[in-house]
Amino acid sequence: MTIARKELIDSLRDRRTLVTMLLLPMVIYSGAILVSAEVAMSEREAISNHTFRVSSTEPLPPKLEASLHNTEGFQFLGQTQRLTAPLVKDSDFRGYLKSQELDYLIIPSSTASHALDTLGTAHLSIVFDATEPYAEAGKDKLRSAILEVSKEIKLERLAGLGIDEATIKPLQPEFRSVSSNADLGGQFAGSILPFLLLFFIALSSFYPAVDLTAGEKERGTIVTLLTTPVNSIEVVAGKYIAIVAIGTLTGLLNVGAMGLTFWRVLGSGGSKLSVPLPEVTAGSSLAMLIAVLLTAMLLGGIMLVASTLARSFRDANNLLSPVLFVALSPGIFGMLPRSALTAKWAAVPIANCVLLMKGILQNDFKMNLAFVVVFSTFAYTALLIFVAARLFSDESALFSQTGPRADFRSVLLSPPQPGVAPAITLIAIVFLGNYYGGLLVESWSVIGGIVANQVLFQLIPALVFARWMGGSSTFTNALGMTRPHNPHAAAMSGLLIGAGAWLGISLPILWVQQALFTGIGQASESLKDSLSIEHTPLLALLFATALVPAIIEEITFRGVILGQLRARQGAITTIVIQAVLFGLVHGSLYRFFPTAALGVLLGVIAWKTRSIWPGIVVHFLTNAILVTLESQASETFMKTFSAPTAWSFLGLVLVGLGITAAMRPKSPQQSSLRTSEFSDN
Amino acid sequence: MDRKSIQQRPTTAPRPPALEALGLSRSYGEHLAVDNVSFEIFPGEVFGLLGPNGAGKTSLLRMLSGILEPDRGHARINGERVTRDAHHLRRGLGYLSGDTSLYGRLSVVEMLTYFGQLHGMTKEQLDSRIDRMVNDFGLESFKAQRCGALSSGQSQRANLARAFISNPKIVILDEPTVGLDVISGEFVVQAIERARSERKAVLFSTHIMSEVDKLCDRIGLLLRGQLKAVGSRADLLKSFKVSDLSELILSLHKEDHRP
Repeated sequence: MTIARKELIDSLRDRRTLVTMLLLPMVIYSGAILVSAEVAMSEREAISNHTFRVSSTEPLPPKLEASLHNTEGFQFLGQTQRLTAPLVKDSDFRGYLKSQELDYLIIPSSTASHALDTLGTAHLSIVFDATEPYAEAGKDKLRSAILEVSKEIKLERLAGLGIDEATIKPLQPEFRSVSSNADLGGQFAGSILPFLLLFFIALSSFYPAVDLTAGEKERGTIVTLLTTPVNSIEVVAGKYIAIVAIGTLTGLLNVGAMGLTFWRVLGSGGSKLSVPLPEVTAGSSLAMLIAVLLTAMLLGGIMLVASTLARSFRDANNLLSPVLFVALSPGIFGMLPRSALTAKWAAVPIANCVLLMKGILQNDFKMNLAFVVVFSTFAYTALLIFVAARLFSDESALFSQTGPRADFRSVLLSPPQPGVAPAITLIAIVFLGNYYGGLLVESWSVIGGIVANQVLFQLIPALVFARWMGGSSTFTNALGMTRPHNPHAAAMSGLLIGAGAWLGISLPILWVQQALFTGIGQASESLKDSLSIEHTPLLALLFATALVPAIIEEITFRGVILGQLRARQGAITTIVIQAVLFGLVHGSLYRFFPTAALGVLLGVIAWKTRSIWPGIVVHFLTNAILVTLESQASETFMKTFSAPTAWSFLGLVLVGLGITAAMRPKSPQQSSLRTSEFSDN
Repeated sequence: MDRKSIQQRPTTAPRPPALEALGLSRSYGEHLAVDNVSFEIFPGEVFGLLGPNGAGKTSLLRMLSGILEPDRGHARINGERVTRDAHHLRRGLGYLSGDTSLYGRLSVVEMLTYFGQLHGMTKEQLDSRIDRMVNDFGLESFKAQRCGALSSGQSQRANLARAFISNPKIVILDEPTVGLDVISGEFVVQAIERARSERKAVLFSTHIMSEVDKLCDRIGLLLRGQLKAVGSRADLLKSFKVSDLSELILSLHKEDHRP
């Protein structure tokens, strides 16, 4: 925080930051909208005040002449003077219009008066000079004046023939828009505002990012910073927070400026210029704030990584321009009229933020997809910060003025110190892999898909990660696959907690969740649909949704992640962080709280027993009970669990007994052995 | 010439060294900048690292403070191994070199506050320490000015204050007097003498002989990345049979280039 505050002060004292942050969006662009609105209004006024001079080469039908005389905005000059030379070429006509200061010259065809008398069509050819500023506007006006007279004549003719107007008008379409002004405003704002925001956030984070990294190298303050007792993650995080703060602030200032501008246009212009405004509610404002923050987070991360590689301001400019171009291009997608936030797009960086903003403005907001946007953005951000921090401890990235910009091999491949950052990085990879893996394998067989997804995108990354981080402990130790302190007690505890966890922990949380947030719905429903539970044999279900996840998720979360966190953090921090990550990685808002609570329980067991085996038993039983009930029990039986029941007390008692069993002190002859086994962890 | 024979410990030994170099080596591509350098500095001692430009002084000092990772060997601070990740070791370290610039958009006091906070100092500690620094380095007249607007002498005094802000037990000063006027140079000399009296370990590199004569308890001669000799001034002059240090450096240099 110290670093973030200083970097913020430092950046805000930089004139360029202020220009891109305040001047550009607030003054220039709001000014531009205001001025163009003023201009548009005065143009309209000018057009409505302008008098068009009209003349004709032959006498016109009296009704039309009268109409042109009486219509405001026209000055009918009657028939033209005899011409000295016939007008043939277009240029002759143009010269004539100019010399007579005429806007329109009407040239009736030779058969015009005859046609009018004999129920025919009189053709009027009208010449005008399209380079005259108001020619187009006057053309429409003149056309409607003539058509008005034409209609009058038509009605007279019909009356003369004894025909009703309806006879020649068998169909008459009438359109009525049912979208309110707010809907229109949302549609309009949703199609342009997200991209403008993206652009201005990128622009405003550009200078802070460059200044705090490449600028620091150029001014030679980087060594000063490196002599302080601060690690690279703290330095990078501080800089990152400052960049994101400025980006977010700019985004919000932009939304504010745009709101004010439109309000001002509406306020001063009255009804002359009707700009539809989107509806603004507390909910949509909050959602917008979050979306702007997410956008700033992602862009800030991208720019931080790119500018850390730069050696100087000039270098950073060259390096960042293509990066920015690539980063902003998904934003174009959001401007396409039919684009919307779907499951496929929800984890595509930048595009998902733009589509989220669009959805908010167009009142098409899906909570579960928004959750995916939030978490995938966090995941990408974690990866970016991790890379930036690695770069910040890479000598060639910091000091070298020639050759490669960084030792990319060591930055990306050499194992970091264990701790929170690598743990979060692994989970970010697992989340993104699982999310898209899930979408990909959904189309394959259900059971095979679930298993393949877990193996490919969770087990393999976790194993590779554990191997990579290696350290002094053995591989099975790194995975937490060690014998528990007290195997009998641990097995007992696993069975008891596993039997009671769903009833005693998951269910009550679901009830509370349903009571508090009515829109959230039931977790089991979505699970049921996606698995087509009725058509799959129970054994296959148990294998794919209970046994495999129990083993793989315990290895990942209670083995690798917990081991990572434990290296640097205390019990409470470790258990809470891994539980939150465990809840988040399931990628669903409905399942977050129940899963995270289970994660706490499993974390406590793993911490206490120093092994993942009891947790595997608990995890398997919890999932197995749920899946068995869902697929085998009757609907009426399941109904008993949709509201609080006394069964949960039984569950809680079982969990309590199990935890007590897990807490049992280790047997004396084993304790010395176990301690030594874990001492190198 | 056997290096060990002239390497002497101060007579008050044994005490644990504050800062140690153990076989430090570092190369940039083909160029070997620091070649197997070992020495140690004790609390209350001023150690002068003497050598011409390009001798590898800056690389050596960076490795000692953990900014640069050595290829071989390692440094120790209070007996603990220095690495890039062992940032807690830098809590007790003040470091000043030609490339430790100050943040131009922060005022002197803001800058000192910032670096004090990075060293984990509380507000109360900082308030009195900044007053002390302002007094010690004569910053009063420009302490509210932004660092970017200072003259080079003022800037170097502010930078010294920065290096001393956390009251470190070990101070590394890389050519602190280069390009300074007499008055600012005197602040450097005073700072080093004060540090010695506060029993800090001071490592200080220069190529100005008079400073070495005046300040250093022991001297290390660094030539082409190698530590050619370590000892007190008198010892060095005696064992190499020369009348001053410049002569010694020149003779070592010649010896190096002998076919």
